[in-house]
Amino acid sequence: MTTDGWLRQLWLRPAGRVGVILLVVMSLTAAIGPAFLPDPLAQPDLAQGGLRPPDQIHLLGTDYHSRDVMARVVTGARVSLAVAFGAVLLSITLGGMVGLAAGYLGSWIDAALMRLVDAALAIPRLFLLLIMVASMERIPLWLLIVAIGATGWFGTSRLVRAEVRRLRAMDFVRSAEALGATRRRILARHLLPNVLGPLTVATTLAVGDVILLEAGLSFLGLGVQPPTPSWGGMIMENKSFLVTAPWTSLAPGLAIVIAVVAVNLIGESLHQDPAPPLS
Amino acid sequence: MTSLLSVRDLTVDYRATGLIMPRRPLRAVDRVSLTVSRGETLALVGESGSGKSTVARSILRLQPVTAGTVEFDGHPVLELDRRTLRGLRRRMQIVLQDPSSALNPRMRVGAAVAEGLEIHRLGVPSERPARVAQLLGEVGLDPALADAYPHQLSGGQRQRVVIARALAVGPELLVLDEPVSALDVSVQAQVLSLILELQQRRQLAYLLVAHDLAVVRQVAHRIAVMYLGRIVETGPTDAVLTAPAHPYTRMLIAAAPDPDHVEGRPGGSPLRAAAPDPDEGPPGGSPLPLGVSGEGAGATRPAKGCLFQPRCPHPGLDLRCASESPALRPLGATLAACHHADSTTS
Repeated sequence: MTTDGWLRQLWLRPAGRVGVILLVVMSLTAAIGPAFLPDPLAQPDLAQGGLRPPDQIHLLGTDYHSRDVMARVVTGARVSLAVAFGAVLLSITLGGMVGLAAGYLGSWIDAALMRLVDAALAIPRLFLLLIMVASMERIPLWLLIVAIGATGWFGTSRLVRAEVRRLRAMDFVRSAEALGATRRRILARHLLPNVLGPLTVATTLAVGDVILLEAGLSFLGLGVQPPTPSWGGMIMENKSFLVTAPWTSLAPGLAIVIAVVAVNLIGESLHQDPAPPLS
Repeated sequence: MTSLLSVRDLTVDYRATGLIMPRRPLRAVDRVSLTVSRGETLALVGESGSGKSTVARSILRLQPVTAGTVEFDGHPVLELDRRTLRGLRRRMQIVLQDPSSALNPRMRVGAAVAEGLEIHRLGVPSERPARVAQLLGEVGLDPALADAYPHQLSGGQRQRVVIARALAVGPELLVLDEPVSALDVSVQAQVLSLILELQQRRQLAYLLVAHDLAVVRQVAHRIAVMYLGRIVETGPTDAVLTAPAHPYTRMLIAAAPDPDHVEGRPGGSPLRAAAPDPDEGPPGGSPLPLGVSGEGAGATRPAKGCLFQPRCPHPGLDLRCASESPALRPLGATLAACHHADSTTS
């Protein structure tokens, strides 16, 4: 409903605009870039040895297996961004639904859901993920997304619940009840639109977290499996050559930094403007 | 004349859960009975914490009720199933106190006014914008405001939108919970005259919850004074305001900065500054108004006897007041719940 409003606000803020441009460029590059780059798995000049520094043919050099680093970073963006946005989409959907249900329905539903969340929050997320991921030999990408998404909604649900509880006590909800609005209508028309603001901010900030989490998991060898490139995985593969061939890990590292900064710029800009004030 | 709304022995307890044992529930409303007829305004007055808003919300079933009955045009409101209740909600609407929180900040004015039409499937969807424009016009707003968000409106405009939203479904009873107390005095007058005008045009019955006697005097036909969840005095507006029987009613009237009741200062504008909330003490450093004594009502709730007895200035206060709860009885032109009021009404 007011989507146009805060998108415009985002664009009007310099930080927000930079973030949006960075993210759009990255996404476009990830989408169409691989078509113009060599095969990220190919080893074109294996005979001449790997770890070649950047030149005209390999703009970012090659890695130990003589694969083009540029092609791998760009292709890796697909995986890393897909994991980030997929997982965050899943976790805000879960967190939003649990938060709305707990906050609006209250009583034992609220108590049960929130104790569950308390318990889940007591365990470090990486540990939860390690248990899930380490119990399997080979993790398909979708499962990685589900695993990260399913362990990321606890905080969001608390945020949404608190907001819903605050809103539920407000007169406009009372007035909708007096008009005869159904629970579903109150949730969809009155509560949900009002939690979208805080939810959006939480989402953008979570994207940065998830990119780093995927990088960390892949770095530990538990995320995206080689030879499929992902940013975190690339850093792990090339950690032994950090001194002799720094481009191999600096390139994906820089990509992570840019993506996280872009998403945080957007989140921060939205954070400054929670749109129409409530009182 | 049969009443449109008839409330009998309404009782509402607020349950406070203690750390170990459940605490004694707080009785917010205690056996309140009242009636409102078509085209009539009944004002519920009393200080904050007297339970008047709780009564208003209970009648519309916006909160759980402990005991009692509410009959609206013969329908037992408190016993209806959800579907029947939804149908009845068309006929009884509420206007809430604070116009800044009574409207969804993410909903345009037009959508807010149309919501009741959508819920009750009134009219053809394609004609709703025209209906909304007509309703906005009826409450004195520019129909172009339908595209605005609540935060773009002034307090008075918002309260008009809230009224239009309630009117959309064509109610017969409108519960007005402090409809003007959050507004500037000049805006209060305009909204009050709108409220009066709508009553005449639509034959609306009003249950007006207010603490401002100046407002009540202007619009109410009858008054019910509440103290700690009970009605302590009720009667026609004139009788209650000019010849109050209950010591609490007298205290309330004395506390209101009302020129008509201060000797040597006749006249006065029809609308006066809001009466001070008794909980907030005397306004602007002026001396304590005549006859007001004691803390806010919440602080002093005797276990038995007359609830008002700890603050009662009546000279006849005796053991009976401390042991026996007084019932409403005819005293002069009103009904009042006091053992001794008649001994000083002269």
